[in-house]
Amino acid sequence: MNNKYLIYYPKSTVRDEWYDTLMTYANRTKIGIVSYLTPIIGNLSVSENILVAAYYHHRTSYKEGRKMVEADLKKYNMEHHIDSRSNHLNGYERFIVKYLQVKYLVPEWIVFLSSRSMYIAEYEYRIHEFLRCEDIDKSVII
Amino acid sequence: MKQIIQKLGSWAIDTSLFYFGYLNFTLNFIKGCFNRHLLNPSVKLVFFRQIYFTGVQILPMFSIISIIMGLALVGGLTNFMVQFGAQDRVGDVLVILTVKQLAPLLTAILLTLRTSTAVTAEIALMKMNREVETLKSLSINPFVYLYIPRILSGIVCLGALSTIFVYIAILGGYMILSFNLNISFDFLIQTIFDAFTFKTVLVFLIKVVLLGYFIMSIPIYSALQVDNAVTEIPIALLKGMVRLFYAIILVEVLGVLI
Repeated sequence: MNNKYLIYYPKSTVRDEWYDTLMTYANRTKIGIVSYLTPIIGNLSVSENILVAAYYHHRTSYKEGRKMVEADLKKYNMEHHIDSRSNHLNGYERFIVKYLQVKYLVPEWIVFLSSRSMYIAEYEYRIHEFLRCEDIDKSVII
Repeated sequence: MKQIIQKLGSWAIDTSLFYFGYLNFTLNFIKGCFNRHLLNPSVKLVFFRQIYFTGVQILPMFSIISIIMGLALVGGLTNFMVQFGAQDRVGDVLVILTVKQLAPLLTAILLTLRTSTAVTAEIALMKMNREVETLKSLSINPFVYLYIPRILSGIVCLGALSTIFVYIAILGGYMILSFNLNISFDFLIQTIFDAFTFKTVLVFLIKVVLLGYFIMSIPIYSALQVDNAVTEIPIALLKGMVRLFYAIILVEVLGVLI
């Protein structure tokens, strides 16, 4: 990751405050929030979840969108989950789907807010690997 | 005495809050209908999916109920009227009963039982799981993406199913009982068409639009009152259904008054 910013919050009430502020910004400017506070949508499949923002804001075609999602999921060995619902995913996979959902929004900044709460310790090394390898221009980890 | 006054006051506040909130919801719905994202392919997909769940999946059960009602109403009533020599008025009675009263009412009741309950549970769960927040975080207006397609599909499906009900009830009822009737099918259709007036169509359309709006918007609005507890979902469902019941009665009364 280039331009890395790491911010710590002292207590959960502060985190919730920051989350509320981020949400008000997200409505006006495009900020992608990867957080357990904004989970993936249960009644949509993985590909629909990832593309929901792209379809809504960028009018991406279904065929083109699906191809892009297939390629992205392959990168994370998750291509077999393309039509799965969120209850078939583990914590790490949910994190990836959430990240891709935000990535397809094409936001100016991506904010990982308390994203550790999305997965159990078992997946910690995979997340670290993801953060090392992923090329995200502007991002903040809170 | 104090308790009674407290209860009355609490009821008055709750009712006022509901009407104020629902009015606000309706204004947002009207505002959302002019949102440029409404013609977005993703919103259209939600709309067509809801049409499928609301209007297509119900068809087998709906057809059977329409035929049974047709048998009881068209067959029975026509037979009764012919016996008393009032065959000239068959069209009037059938149009008033099926088109103006029974078709929108019965369709609304069936859609309430099947779709409104499902929509309440779905939206309440989405609200509780913060999935509505997810949409907001992606700059997606929940009104445009979630609520308006469902409400519009409710109106479209209620109109389509009510029309289908009229056809099935009249045709099915006649075909099954034709051997027992002394009037020809041509005569029946002719009297029905003669009985059709602009007012009949207007009442039918007003009822369809109002009932279609209520069967989706009241459950959605009730579901949005849910906070974080699972136990609030059945309460929202119950409140939604009771409010919807009152709304259906209100529309029926309006239909009679027009």
